[in-house]
Amino acid sequence: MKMYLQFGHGMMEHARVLLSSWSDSGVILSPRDLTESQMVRLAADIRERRAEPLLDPQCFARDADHPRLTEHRYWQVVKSQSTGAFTGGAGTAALLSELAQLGNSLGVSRHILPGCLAPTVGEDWFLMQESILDEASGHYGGAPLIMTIALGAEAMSSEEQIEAVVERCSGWDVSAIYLVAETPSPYLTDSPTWLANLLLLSSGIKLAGKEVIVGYSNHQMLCLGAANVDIVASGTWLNVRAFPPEKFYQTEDDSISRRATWYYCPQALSEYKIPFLDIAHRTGVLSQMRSPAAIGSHYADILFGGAVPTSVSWSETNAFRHYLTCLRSQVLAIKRGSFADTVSVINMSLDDAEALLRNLRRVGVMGQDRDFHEYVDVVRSAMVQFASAREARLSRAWG
Amino acid sequence: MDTDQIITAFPELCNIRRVETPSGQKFVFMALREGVDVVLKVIRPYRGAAERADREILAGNILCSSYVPAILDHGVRNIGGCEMRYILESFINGETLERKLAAQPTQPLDFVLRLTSALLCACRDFEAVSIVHRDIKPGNLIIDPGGKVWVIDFGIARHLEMPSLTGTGGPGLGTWGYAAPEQFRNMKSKINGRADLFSVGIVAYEALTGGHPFARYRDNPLVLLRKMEGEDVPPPAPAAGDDGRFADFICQLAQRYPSRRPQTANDALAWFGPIYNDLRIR
Repeated sequence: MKMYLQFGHGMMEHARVLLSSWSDSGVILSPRDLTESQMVRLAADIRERRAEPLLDPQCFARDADHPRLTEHRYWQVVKSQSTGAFTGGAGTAALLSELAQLGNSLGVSRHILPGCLAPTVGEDWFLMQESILDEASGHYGGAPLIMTIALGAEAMSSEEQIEAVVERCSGWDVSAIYLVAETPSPYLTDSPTWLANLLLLSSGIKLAGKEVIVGYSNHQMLCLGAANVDIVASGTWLNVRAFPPEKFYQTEDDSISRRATWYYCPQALSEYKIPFLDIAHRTGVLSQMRSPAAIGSHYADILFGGAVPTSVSWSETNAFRHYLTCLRSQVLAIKRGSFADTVSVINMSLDDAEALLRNLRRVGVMGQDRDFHEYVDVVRSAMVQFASAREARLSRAWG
Repeated sequence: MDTDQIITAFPELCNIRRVETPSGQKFVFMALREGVDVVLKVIRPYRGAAERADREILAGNILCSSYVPAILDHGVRNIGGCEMRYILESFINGETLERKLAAQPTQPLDFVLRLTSALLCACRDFEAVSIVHRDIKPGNLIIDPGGKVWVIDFGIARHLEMPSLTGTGGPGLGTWGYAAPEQFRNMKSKINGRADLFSVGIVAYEALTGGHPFARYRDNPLVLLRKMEGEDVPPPAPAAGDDGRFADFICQLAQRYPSRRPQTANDALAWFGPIYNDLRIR
């Protein structure tokens, strides 16, 4: 499993710096957060770093009105088509034509096709997806195509709807699927059903012979390694680590930058505000929270230099780069030579995290709503559900 | 329909006798032709009968399977003043699996392994010509005295490359308790060879454990359908001699969602082969 960057607000420099030392990675560009000229420049920088730029059209909702997003020429087409740009015919042709041009100007080698968010999955949504697919073949000159599947939280809670998607999309003539799934909560999910369904969906698509790219990911989704997912994408702010459809509307601002700085402890699968690291320092457990050398992040070294953590200056920039560096190392390490071995690695990481969290919590080191202790069993439960349905086929098809 | 009318219409047959069958769609007779036992099916003239009979004949003609009785003759004859379609097939001497299970509900592991192997091979033959049997169940399986398994009755078989004979949206064809959920929900785009694999799984489950996985709901078909659609097959306790792999495999065949089953009969056979070889050697 590989990790790409899910582009969000203020990520240009992060992308340039991180990709300079990462191999075999990429960036999913966000028109919501970048102008066309910024995207062109950034895509060139990405390619220069031997990473793959992908363009997410972000056509999740026709009535999206986020100013930066809707300024793009292809969104002007969406807005100007009274009969709709997602239901086939001239409107769809015009949209895809603009998107293909934009993709080509960015130098993408694979094109992500637009796909509307399905609050619930039904025949109307399938027909809309297939209208886009039917029209797409004429616009991209034979370049590999990636279809977007965007599902709302309600659709993601239904096993039947998930299986319907798996069944239907297996016949789509695309090489890969770009999967985005709305979580029932803003960040980590406490729903084992949601997570099990994400595992079922991604593994089902993978078993149908398509590459799977899961967008808007976070460390709770490391378990997607067991679904044999190819790529997960994650970013800095929470609105690129989980998928909030409302971010494509005007009312959503980027005031998120006012929030606290969090330190990600990869072996605990948890994040901590810096004052809680002071508690760890005082109680002698801080060294247990340092990311292992093998993870390869030095962005947080200053926190472990001996001083009280809040007394050192540790920036948001370092926090983001530390999180993404750690997550990438974990992503790269999760998949093993067999399904059973991969599940075993995931279970061991949960066990290790649980044991460490118990120690940390005992001395008062809490991750608040980013403490993974409440989520360990969510992942375990989801994994059991998922394995009972897919273990046999995945074990045979692993590769 | 009386036997005298058949004697008149089929002078080449002798020793004709009526066989009572649960099918409401055809009259079935046993007979001798040139000293060989044959089965004569005369199709009742219900709406769509001709098309169905033609599909059954087509299935018989294009199938090249050693698990299916050969069609010897077919056509239309005047029977008792009425033009009726008929199919003449080889007779398979033996007993249906249904009867065998009635006498001994739990069959030995070795028998169920051979049964499963034969049915998967038959499904592979069906898939090769894009046919879905859609009615694999104990009553449509004959075990001959040599232990060979035969699949009969292609009356509701579907040819995937030909237009469907049933509409969309209504209930699907098949036998409740054996038809896959996508089949009894008539979700045509999802129906293919995987539906037959589901039925094979249910049949194997029943033969191995002595009971249908949802046996206690069989008196109430609507509840039965809901259970089969909404719940996984309860894992059977492995039979003596099974290290658990065969029981697991049966559950995989009988998964309620088609994406969770083996995707083709060949896939199922590749999966089943090592299990079969290992367990039979023991």
